Amino acid sequence: MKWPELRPQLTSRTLCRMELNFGPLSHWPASLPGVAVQGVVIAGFEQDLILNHHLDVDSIDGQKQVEEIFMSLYPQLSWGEMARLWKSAETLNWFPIASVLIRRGHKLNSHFTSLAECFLRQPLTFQNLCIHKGWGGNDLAPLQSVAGLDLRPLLDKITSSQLSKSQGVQALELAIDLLMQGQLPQEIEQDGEAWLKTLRQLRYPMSTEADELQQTQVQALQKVVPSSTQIRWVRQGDKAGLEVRLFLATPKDLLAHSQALPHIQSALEQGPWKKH
Amino acid sequence: MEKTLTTKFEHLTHFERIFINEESWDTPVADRFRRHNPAAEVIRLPAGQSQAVTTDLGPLTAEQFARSKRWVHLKAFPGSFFKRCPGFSQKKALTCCNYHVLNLGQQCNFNCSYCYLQSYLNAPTMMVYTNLDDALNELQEMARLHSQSPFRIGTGEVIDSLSLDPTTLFSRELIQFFRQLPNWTLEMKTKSALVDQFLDCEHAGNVLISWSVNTQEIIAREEHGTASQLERLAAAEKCAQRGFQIGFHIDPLIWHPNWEQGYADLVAAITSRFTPDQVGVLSVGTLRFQPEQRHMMRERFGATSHVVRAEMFSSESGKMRYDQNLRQTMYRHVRECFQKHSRDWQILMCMETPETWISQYGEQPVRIDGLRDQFKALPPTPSKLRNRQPTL
Repeated sequence: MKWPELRPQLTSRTLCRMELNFGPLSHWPASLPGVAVQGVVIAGFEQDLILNHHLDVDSIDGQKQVEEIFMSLYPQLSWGEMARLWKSAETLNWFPIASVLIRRGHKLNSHFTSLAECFLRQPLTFQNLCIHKGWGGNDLAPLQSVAGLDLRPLLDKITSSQLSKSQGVQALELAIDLLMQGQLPQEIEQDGEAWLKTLRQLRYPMSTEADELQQTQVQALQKVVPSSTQIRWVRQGDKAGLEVRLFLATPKDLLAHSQALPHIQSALEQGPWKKH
Repeated sequence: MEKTLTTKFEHLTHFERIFINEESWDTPVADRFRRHNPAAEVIRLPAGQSQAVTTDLGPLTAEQFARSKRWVHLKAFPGSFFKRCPGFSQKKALTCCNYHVLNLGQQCNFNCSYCYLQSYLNAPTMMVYTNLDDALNELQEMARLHSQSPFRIGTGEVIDSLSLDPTTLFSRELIQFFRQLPNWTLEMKTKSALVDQFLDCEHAGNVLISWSVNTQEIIAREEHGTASQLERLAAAEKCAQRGFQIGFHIDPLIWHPNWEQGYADLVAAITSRFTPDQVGVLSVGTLRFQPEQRHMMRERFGATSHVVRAEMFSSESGKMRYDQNLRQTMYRHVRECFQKHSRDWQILMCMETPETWISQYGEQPVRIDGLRDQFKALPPTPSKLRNRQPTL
């Protein structure tokens, strides 16, 4: 598409009629004016000076131009920002929200809008965390199962827990599952990782118990393996088993380890390692 | 016959709306849908309209999915009815049993918490295809090439084979068609007890009526709207008495308190009514689903569901499954329950990994007497059938 001939004009923010402030987290450079289309500010919401584009926003070409301007202003937006944008643009008939969503890999459908509504009802601090860490729609899907409940204590805990993105996503789902089962502890005093471990233990009680039992039993084997060999019980998805680590200080150590392997094999077969 | 059935199945007033395409309006199937659902709103659509209502692109919300079970769309299907079971496409991770499917509609009027259709369908209505003749022509084309190969063809992949059969009466025409193909097997799989509509049909001994069965606790809690365990087994007895092969799929095995006793009782209920030679197929499979499906299940069924509460992990095939050791324990338990009764019971494991087969049987199924034939490679589907795409 040929870049349109735009005749933007610098104007005062006070002359703009409204703004599409969807709370993007990216910082707008202080030295640049904000950007508006037809007097609606779409970027640089804090700026006094605005570069206003005059476009025929009711035409297909005009909407395409709005889309291109918007995409150039916001090369990256997270799912949470898209949800906010969709809500902010609800009253702007000419804003090409469906096209912008598609270019960000989302579809404007009930699946998106119902989750967006649910997300936007949550505390701002949690919303900002999700945007900052780049949570996706699927990560937030558990919220829809408890739409009528006050999640503030839980979401505040996640927000303040210093968890990584994947840990936070796991914590939300585990905690919502437990909340629905009536098993989410009311007292939350542990730090992030310890809390996540507790959530896992409560949500997966049978597997956790079996894995912990195996780990205890496997520790006994450590006495019969060479000191530079470490063994531990690990879970990899639907399978759990022994991880054996060998430490080699010199190439010859591998030979020594290989000679010790039959002893380990024998200890495993005679030892406490048994099926769940 | 039809008059008797109409009276008998008057209770099947399930649908709120029936959408009927112009090309299907005057078909006997459409006529019966209107008569069997007198309270439903009936809407006539232009010929060829692929979807009854305009919907968003992409996955359905929980609410839209639930509604799609109450709206049915009758139309002619323009694509290929006949295809391989989805297990074939995961052959690297799973052991495939060469099953083929004939899809005469999609979506199900039952409501099982674990149903994989929740992560598979994005149409706003249930669909029933009224052009059964085209499906039979397609089978005829396949039969011209491979009538001697032991194809097993099921109609219950994306729709229950019999839950609407008193209205569609597809079973009667299919049974008639399969009389000319004694080497092929037709399998109609259901969670209903609706068999009376075809019991009088003459058949060639190659029609298998099978039931997905479970403990009564699981049926009551997870398989909403379906027949009870006793009703299903009673229907199976009727079919066996009429010389139909019968089959049972104890699938999915679902962990729940007292599961061992529940499945032992189920096995006892089967073995007390049937002998191994009466049961053409006996399969077991443990709970499994696509990861994204858990959100819809949680939203639709809540924490009282044993499926929603299950301890599931990512598996190599990408699906969520129980811990491998628990799966093996469950398989072993069911197998031992059957074998306590008779060593002649042969159990298939559905969509399982080679490791699990080896752990249970010591061998892959192609090496096991009694199962070998089902797992042998079959001729491919002709490309002109395989490549025919629906114009949805």
